[in-house]
Amino acid sequence: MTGSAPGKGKPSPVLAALDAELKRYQASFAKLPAPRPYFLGYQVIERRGLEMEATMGAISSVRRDHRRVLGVEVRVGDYKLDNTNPVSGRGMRYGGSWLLPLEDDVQKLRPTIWLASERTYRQSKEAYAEVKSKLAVKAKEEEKSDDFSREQPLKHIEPVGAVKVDVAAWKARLRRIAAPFKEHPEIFFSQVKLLVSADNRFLVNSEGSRVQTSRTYARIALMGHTRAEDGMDLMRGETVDAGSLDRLASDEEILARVKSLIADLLALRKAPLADPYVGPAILEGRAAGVYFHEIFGHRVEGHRQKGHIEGQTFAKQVGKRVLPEFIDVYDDPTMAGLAGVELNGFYRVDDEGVVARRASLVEAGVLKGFLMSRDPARGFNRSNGHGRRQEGRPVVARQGNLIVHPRVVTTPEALKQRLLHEVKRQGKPYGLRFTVVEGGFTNTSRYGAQFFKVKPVMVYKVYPDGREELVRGADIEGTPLTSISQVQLAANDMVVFNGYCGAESGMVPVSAASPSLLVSKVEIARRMTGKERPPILPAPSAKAGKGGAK
Amino acid sequence: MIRASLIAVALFSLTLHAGAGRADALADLEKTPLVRALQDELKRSLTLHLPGMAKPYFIAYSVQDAEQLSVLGEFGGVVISQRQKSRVLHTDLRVGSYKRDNSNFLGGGGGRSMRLVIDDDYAALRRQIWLATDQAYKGAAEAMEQKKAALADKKPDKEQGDDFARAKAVRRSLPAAAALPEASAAEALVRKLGALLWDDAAVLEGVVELNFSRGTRTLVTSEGSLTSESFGVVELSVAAGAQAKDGMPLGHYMHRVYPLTGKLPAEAALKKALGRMLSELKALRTAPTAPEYAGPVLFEGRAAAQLLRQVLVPHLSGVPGAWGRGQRMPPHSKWAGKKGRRVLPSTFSLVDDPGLKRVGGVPVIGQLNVDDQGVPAQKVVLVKAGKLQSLLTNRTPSKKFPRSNGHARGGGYGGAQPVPTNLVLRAPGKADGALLRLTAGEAKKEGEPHGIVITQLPEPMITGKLSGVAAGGGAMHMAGMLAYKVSASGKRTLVRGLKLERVQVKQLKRIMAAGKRAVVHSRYDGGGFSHRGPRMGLPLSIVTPSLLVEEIELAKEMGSRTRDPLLPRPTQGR
Repeated sequence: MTGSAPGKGKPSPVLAALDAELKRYQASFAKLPAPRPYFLGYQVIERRGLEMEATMGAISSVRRDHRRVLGVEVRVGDYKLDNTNPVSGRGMRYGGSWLLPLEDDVQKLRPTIWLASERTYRQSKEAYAEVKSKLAVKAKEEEKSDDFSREQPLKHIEPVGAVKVDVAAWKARLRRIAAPFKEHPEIFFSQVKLLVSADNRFLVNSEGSRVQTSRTYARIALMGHTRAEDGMDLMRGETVDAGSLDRLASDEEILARVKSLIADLLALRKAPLADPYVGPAILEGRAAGVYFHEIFGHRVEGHRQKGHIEGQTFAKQVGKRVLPEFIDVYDDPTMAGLAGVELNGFYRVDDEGVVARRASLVEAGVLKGFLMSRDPARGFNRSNGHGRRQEGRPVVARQGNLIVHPRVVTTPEALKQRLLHEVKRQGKPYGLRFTVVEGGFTNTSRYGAQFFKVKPVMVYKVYPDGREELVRGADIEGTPLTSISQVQLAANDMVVFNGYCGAESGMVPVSAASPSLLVSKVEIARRMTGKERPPILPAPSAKAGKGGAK
Repeated sequence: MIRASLIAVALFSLTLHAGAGRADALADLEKTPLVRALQDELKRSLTLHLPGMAKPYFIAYSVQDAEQLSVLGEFGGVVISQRQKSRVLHTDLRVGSYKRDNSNFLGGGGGRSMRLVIDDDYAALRRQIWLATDQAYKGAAEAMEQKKAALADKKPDKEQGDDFARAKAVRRSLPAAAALPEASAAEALVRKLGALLWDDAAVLEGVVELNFSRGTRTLVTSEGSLTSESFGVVELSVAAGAQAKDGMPLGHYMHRVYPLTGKLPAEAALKKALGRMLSELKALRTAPTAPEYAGPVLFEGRAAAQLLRQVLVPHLSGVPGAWGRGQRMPPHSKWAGKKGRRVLPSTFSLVDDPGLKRVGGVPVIGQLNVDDQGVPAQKVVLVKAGKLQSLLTNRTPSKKFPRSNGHARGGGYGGAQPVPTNLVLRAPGKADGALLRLTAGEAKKEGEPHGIVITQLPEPMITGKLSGVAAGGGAMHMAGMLAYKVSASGKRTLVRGLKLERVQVKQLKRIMAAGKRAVVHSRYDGGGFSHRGPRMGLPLSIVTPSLLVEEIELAKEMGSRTRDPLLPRPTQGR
């Protein structure tokens, strides 16, 4: 798959049906007295997919999914002030979602589009009246950006995608991939999941945009769950992603990942508990990518720079130093691959019909801009094609491919030497190295403290003599502005993390890429532990009629 | 109309040893990886023990293999078509003894549900059963300690029997249900019915849902029971929304449940029924609104069965209230303390008959051979000559109802509650005309100018699927009520805008008369898809004549009045 050339496709009947209803409503809206709708947009997200799960060598579920979800946006008022204005307190600007018939038949599709338009129109009209009345009685907000950005209409038609899966063959492959867990009863829950989908998106709006895009995804997700003797639950997941089923890694490569995941879990069970610690650490590539995604990426989403609820961490930092001088950060959805890996966050057009563009976020350590949808923020009146959503959710600005790009790099070996040096300089007994991070969360609202938590899975103590020791149960915590300013040095080992990110607009595929980073100060806290004791009886023998295994 | 034959359910005698299923079928069942894994793990799990805690004395594994095909259509299109299998293990592990165990206590127990692999893989199954049992034991042992502490300073309750009734071992393997049809055939039927809705210009929105469910329950207990029983049902729902001239949102629906036979429901009969539904919906648009009403109401046909399900079914359980931390909870059933007393008119009888197959040529769907606690399902005379004889029971005894009559359904601890199967109400009946005239005459005595006949009650689960454009985006879930004014001559006139106020079970004592003809009303509640796959529901048939109830209140529906849609339905090209 290439990142630049939009394919020449044929418009689908879905697009034709949307167009037919759009024209009817546009003509009818024009005749209404003011305040009347000034914008009408439809988007259909179609997913054709298959999910298959296996555990311990056996299939536990197979689910096919084909659905088309319609989202409707009717905006009453004008670009400056409309029914979506946050003063309404209605939260997301969204009219709801409707399931659309699966037939490629314009006449079968139109009734639901009509129903959805009627209902959304009524809601938007009510919301606009509410906005007007609330503005009349409320104090003026500090924020004065428009409610909707003006963008160029776009015509872009890609061929519609589908997925073909040989279910019987994949059942056999998943059984084989899931089988090694059978040998390890102490890993009491394990799962191998195949997810294949074609994601087709159809968009029309009253500004003249007609967009049809398609992407396919394939993923094998591996997961194991074990429990240490003290009751701490330990989880380790791995994913293998590709842009299509035939480009997924071979079974042998995946089995190697399974085996290393099992080895990690078994080692974690026996590993000592981490102690609370403040000091220098290396975040290896994937861990660094997730770290930046959580503590930086989510905070440069455009809609977080406005509104009275958001913390607006970076709203007034534009033009100021937020990172060390040697670091650039950008988000570029138009990149299809990096370092030999397909990027999950690749797309050509966003969910508001705006062409995806590289958003320069930090240049030489200075904050330059935000990820923008068509929801403007002060000083940023145009979208840079980052308005994204899962079907059935409202659009907000999201990350695509977040890239941490250092201008100066060193080798991974030199990075470790610098860590040892830093340990001694700070007078610490050891430093830390994080290799796998399971995910994290960050609070961007004003309710509660502005903090984040990242959950590392594989954490090693690195002693001054270079010796390393695996520990378990550590969480990285901190406040975002201080944390990202602590990056000291980067290696030349750019690594891609592919994943799915959840936020207000649902789950969207993303990538985060970063080289390994040396951070002069991270803070870790001990994770809460469970109290469940391990199973009382030994694991059963695999043979009928036998009791427990020795 | 229904030309379906039943799933083969052998009628059995109630002597436990005679009715055992085919011996070779049982031998085959014992050889399956699932049953081997259950039995092997069960044996071992009886040795579970934490120091200082009570030991298991009873373990039951109930495995539900469910398969479902579900097609949802809107107008002439199909919006969802999915087919999926699931296998769920429910574990009921009890510690202590039959006399005092961890059950009948709020806030904890030895019941656990876990999804199992759908492959018949002995080793994987056994590992999952091992972990589920471990969890169940820890939960049961902990609950037992809490229960002991909570009851330590309480005087013994005279009403209370043992915690768990003993049951003899039952070994039966019954034939599997018919297979599900091809998805394409089901989709075609949904499209055809949906197109009929769309062809009617009065209809603003319409949904058609067709579900095929089949399931097998396999039960293994530490008492030596081994049973396997299947069922299969087909459920069709159609809902449509329209608007009266004054803007009142109107809805109507159609709901049919059949036994699964491998054939689709007959199309011609469905089209005819749908035509009737549409003409009723159209009639509602111009029907007059009715003022509020208090007086006798005739629940005719299906509406009588719907009334019984809403008002009576929740009170058929004879299970005593459980212990809370401070006190014993009252039993849920309002009939619980009424054994031997009159609960229905003195000429009425009420029976629950799990062995019934059809009534007047119409199949019923509630057949049950052995319940989810391994007790053979028995025919229960609930009410005789208007007096309460018994209630439906599981293995939680009370002084009044000490034995299980095999009606426990649902999985997990505390989940297996007594529910009806084929519930049959019988009464001496009047002819249709006489019943209508009686309704009007009795209303007159109450000072009402007309009587009221209700032929259909709302079903929120069905009309709630409409998006509600007819209600201006409001809910359509109360739609679907069909009521008529009836004059002294027995003439009926459709009215709209009435809402049935809450009816209490004690009002059933005051049923004034019944009709001659009985209807069969079948339901499959609790089924459908969860995010974890298909869920098993409970098949239930209610057989009842029309019922004239003395004092019923009907309020005016205060729903919104909506403007006409901005644009008419898209019709080009049709």
